[in-house]
Amino acid sequence: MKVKFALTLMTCFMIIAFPNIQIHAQTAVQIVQKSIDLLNGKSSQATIQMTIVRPKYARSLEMKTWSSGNDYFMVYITSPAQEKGQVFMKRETDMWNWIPKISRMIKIPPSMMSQSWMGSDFTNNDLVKVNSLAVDYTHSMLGEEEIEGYDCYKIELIPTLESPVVWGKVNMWISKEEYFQMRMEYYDEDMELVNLMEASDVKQFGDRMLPSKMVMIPVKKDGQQTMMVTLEQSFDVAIDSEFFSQQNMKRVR
Amino acid sequence: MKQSLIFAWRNLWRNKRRTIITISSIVFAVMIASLMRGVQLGSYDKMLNDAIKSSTGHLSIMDKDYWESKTLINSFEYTDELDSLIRSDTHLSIRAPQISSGCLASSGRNTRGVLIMGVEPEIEDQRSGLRSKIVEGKYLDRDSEGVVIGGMLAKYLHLKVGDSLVVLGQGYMGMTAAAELEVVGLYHHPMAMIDKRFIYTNLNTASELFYMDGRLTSVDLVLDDYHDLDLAMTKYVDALDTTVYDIRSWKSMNKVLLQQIESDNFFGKIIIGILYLVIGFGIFGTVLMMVMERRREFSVMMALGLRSSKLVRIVLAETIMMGIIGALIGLALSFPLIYYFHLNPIPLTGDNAEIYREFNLEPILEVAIKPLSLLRQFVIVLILSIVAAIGPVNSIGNFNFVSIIRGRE
Repeated sequence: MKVKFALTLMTCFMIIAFPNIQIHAQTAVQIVQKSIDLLNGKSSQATIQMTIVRPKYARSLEMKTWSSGNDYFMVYITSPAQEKGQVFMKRETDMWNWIPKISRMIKIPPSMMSQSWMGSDFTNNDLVKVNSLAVDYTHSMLGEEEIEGYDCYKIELIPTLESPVVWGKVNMWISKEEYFQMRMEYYDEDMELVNLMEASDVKQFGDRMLPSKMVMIPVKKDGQQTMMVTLEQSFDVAIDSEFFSQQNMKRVR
Repeated sequence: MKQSLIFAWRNLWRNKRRTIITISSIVFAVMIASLMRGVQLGSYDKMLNDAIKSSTGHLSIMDKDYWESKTLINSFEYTDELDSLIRSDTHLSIRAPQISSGCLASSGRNTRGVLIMGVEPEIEDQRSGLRSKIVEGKYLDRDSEGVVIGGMLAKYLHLKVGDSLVVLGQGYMGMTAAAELEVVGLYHHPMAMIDKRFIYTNLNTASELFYMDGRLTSVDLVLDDYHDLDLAMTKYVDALDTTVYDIRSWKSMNKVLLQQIESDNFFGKIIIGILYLVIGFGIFGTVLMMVMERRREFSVMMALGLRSSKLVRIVLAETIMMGIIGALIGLALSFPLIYYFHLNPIPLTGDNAEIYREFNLEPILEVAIKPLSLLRQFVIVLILSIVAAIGPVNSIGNFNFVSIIRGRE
């Protein structure tokens, strides 16, 4: 009788305590994964404008992008004239850069992956490691907050020991219903805030709604930020993985 | 007084050998010291002159943030106003507008980090004599798009004259700077750093490569006479907007070099100090010996009624005379030597030369002629001979001349 009581108590306790944590932990990963899938789709094609703001100047770039799943990605710069024709391609973990002016294909070495991409506040890694947020971290639910009028889950991401991540932790705010990545905070190893990403201006792109504007702010550098505005985007377009080849980098327009 | 001097002078030559030994040790010391200082000061002069003439100028005008962070973002617009201001300055021997930025240079499978120097070819030649350092191919000219690179870089990248080199880097506002440039010439520069890392090209080529559009990273100015430095500084600080521009003097641009020189100079002084200490003891020894040798002589003179203070004066005069003679001969001998090496610097060869190159110095020992430093050697030796003589000479006054004459002491 006593044993049975103790067992019941334990079960009750487990039902109360663990399922909660487990469900939250699972859902946290799922939420992050869903938000990534929403951004990328099976495949997509987009026109993006990037504005780099620096204390002494601001400049804009326009580009076309193609992506297939999380592994294939290509960017073609359309303006300004000085940069036009440059192509970046990512295949799985590798990244190449085609510079037509010197007719050279450059494989970005691992040592340069954490450097700025085209002088912006995004790094090459930010482009390559699309799925990193889902696989390289342990996720836990911190709570719920409202960002830009959207009810969001606040999720804390701590990198796993073996993952090649430069951040000490990442906080994400993902909207509950739509799975928009509304806000992200990147912390360094000393748990100081380094980068802040804020999304806004939700618009209809093809079959889905998405925030069209992303601002990356390196909080320690005064007067610096990079804005990415999606002008057009269509999802689930027909692109096969052969599109993402070095030969095609020289051809795309 | 005159009498004592005559006595002293005669005394010197009563025992020639003793006098000559003492004098020659002083001569030797003065020669070594002045030659050593000459080489040391000469190498400092050379380092500074090289740095001023070929890399920083006496003055340099740049953007106010450029010195702290040498990127193209911190470049400045070279306005007509600024141009005419600099051109109208008649005290300048060199006005060198420049664009310099780091880049990757590659050829085939080899890539290396380099510094692209966009220069006016004629002015650069005036500054650093680059034209005469070309060992293959030709030098830059105003219109050509080519580059000249160092022999060591060419070897590393497997480049010959006529080959092309790909450079890749960031231009102004972070734009992708990329170009294929022809190597028109190879130079051999004594400073390893320049031979390995510098790529010289036309100012216009660099401007196009980095999308500078009339912007420069610095304008270096070399004055005809460096004594005008303060004057020129105030002139440019007054004329230019210091919230936009930074006007730097060579002292602030060569801080590290100046500190190195200072610490090297300190050790140099210590070594010279040790040398003087040795000489000082040498003089002390000979004077002591002399006094001991001449005890009987001194005692007899005192017994005859010569006051001991007068005797002290005579012996002191002797040592001062030896000091003066030695120092004068030393200077007389070392001056032609220094002058010869000043005109014909000593080239270093072999391993020594390599060490100099590694430290980005030209492997040459230059000797400076510094009248003040020579005069200082003279005075120091003189003071030394007096100080060293005081002790032994003073003991004369304490002689018990009676017992010395009787041979009891």
